[in-house]
Amino acid sequence: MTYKSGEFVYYRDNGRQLGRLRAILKNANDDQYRLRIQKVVNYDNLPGNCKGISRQERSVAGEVWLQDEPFQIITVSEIVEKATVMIAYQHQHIPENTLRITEIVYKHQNHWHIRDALFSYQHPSDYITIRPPPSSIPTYKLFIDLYYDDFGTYRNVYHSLGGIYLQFGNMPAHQRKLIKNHFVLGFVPFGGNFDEFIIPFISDMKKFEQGKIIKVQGQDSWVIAGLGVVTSDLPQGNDMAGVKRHNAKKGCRTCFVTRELLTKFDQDIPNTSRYHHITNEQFQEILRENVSSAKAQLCMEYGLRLKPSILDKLKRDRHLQNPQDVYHATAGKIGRLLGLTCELFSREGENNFIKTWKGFEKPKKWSRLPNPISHRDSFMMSDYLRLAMIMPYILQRFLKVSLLQ
Amino acid sequence: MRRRYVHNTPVKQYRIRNRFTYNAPAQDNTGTSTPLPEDDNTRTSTPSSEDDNARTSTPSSEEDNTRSSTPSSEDDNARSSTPSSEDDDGMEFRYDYERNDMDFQYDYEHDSQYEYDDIDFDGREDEGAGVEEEEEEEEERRQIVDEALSGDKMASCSNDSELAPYFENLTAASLFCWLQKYNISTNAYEDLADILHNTNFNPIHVVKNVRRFRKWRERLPLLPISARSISISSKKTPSTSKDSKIAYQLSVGDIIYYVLNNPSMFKHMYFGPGIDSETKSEYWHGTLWGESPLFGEDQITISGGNNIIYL
Repeated sequence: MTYKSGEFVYYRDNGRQLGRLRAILKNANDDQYRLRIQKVVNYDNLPGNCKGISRQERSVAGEVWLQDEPFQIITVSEIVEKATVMIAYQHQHIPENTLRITEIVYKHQNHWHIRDALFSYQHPSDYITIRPPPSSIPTYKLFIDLYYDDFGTYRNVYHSLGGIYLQFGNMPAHQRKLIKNHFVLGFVPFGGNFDEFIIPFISDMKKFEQGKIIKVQGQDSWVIAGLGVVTSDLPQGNDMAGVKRHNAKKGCRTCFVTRELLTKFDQDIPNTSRYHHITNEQFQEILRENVSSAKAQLCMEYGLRLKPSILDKLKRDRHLQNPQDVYHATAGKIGRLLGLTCELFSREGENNFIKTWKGFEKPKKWSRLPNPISHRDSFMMSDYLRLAMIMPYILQRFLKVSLLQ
Repeated sequence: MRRRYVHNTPVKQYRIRNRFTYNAPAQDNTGTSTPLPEDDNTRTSTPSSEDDNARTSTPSSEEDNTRSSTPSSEDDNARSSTPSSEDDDGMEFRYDYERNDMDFQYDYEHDSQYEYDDIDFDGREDEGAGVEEEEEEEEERRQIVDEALSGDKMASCSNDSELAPYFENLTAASLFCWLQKYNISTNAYEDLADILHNTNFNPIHVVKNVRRFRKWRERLPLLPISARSISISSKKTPSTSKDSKIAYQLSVGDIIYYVLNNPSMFKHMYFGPGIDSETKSEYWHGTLWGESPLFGEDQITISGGNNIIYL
């Protein structure tokens, strides 16, 4: 029996259980196949606070519930047989007596919640099918990692070039970091448009997604290449996710949370995330609108740009495969924290801080840090991160209540 | 700076040597009478070797002429039409005075000092006459940060080449000059040293025409670069610029082909299913690789009990 990832299956785990086969993996230690399973529960196994008459009635008609992470790992022998379960929003018509899913149970703040199944990332198998190789030839699947960054070419004139390069996710991290394993695709001229520049890449990649016969080491092979990740810093990254820039009201490339609430502690993330298929519909809605002011209004409401990025022509999830720029975000936050901390010091506090900071035994490898009080604005991001490492010890050495304003 | 000299009234040609401090005093002593060849020989060991060669070959006053056509010719020409005699004397004197105690060492230092202090030169010329008295005071005031090694501290050169005691041989001297002239970086120099030390390196094979390298580049199996015109937004660019530009790019297809066919890269690449690992360091440990048919394995065939055939 052949099982495909994304299918629903019955498996053994304290009796017969229903689940969705999410991934076929190999265990790192014993090199044996393992299956990652997402649980599907029936009404009886729903958490108490989610039960109710309406759900009970629907369960009689064949409704079951997907359970969100954490997922389970099972061995191959624990699988029993295939099951037919349909996710309601993906199918126009669901025959009678077929198991169906309309909701997902998930834990948030240690409590069980339930949300519409629409608000979940689609499994890649829902939107990607690949062709098998035409004959039995070796298959190579390539994971393409695309980088895009604007960099200034002159010191004093604003004139930037957009550098585009790619890497192969098939290489281990220690190989990928080598400069020789970065492959330049080209440079977008100043004032040029990324989307226009990248057209040839997109058309090439579309062919590779379908699979292509290429001679590898002298042997015809089936090569599939997909766009795995797009890495870029904050503004460009948002462009490529099709989301407005970060200073917009809803300027996060992964969620809908408004600017004011970004720092809220207890985000119900699954409920507020952007999902590729929902964003698609929002783009459609923007496209259908004819009046430009109404278009702009919709864009603002959704925090989206007028048109999706050209990269969306490839098979990818624009929100998941466009990761946040953790380095910039962290360094930016630390910069703000440092600013606020230094503003707290009184004059004497500043002096004591500088004295302690100067005398602090910093690693020899570090280049000289600029003065954190007077030259904070000229800090590089690495300076912020370094200072953040030693800051607690510096504060502990000199800080007294009297030194604060 | 050199242009400044031009205002001054031209005097004796051999005034040039004021610049080449090591040489100047000798020349003056000899200038009026007969040239002293030994004198010149002692002086041969100067920082810039080309200069030396020219000079050693012509000890007489004609030397001036030859010198003004030496490698740094513009330099010399400018200078040969230079300073006032009065200044000349002052400088001369000073050199002599110094030279007596310090000999080479002084010469060298002084020379380099002029290199940097060019601009002050005019000012000094005015002081010309007073230099003698001020000399000692000036010594006190001046804080020397970069000083030449004194003669006795210098490790004696093993051979008695004409470049002694500054350099062991012509190779060291010419590399030194080249390094200084073009500001060669440490990395660039280390690479060059590696090339030169290679046992297969043969100086006869060094081509003199740098354009030859372009030909060799054409022969290499490099990726083709394609050009395509793309439009330029007029908002960001100056109004004078064109509304389209040529953008150059490589093709992913080519890159993929070359990577897969490069054994040294291919052997590091992983093409298998997603890996379930405690520590996640690679893309194949991640969710996308495991779930997407584009990257990991998307089907598994299980027959009977534990009998498994993978696809």
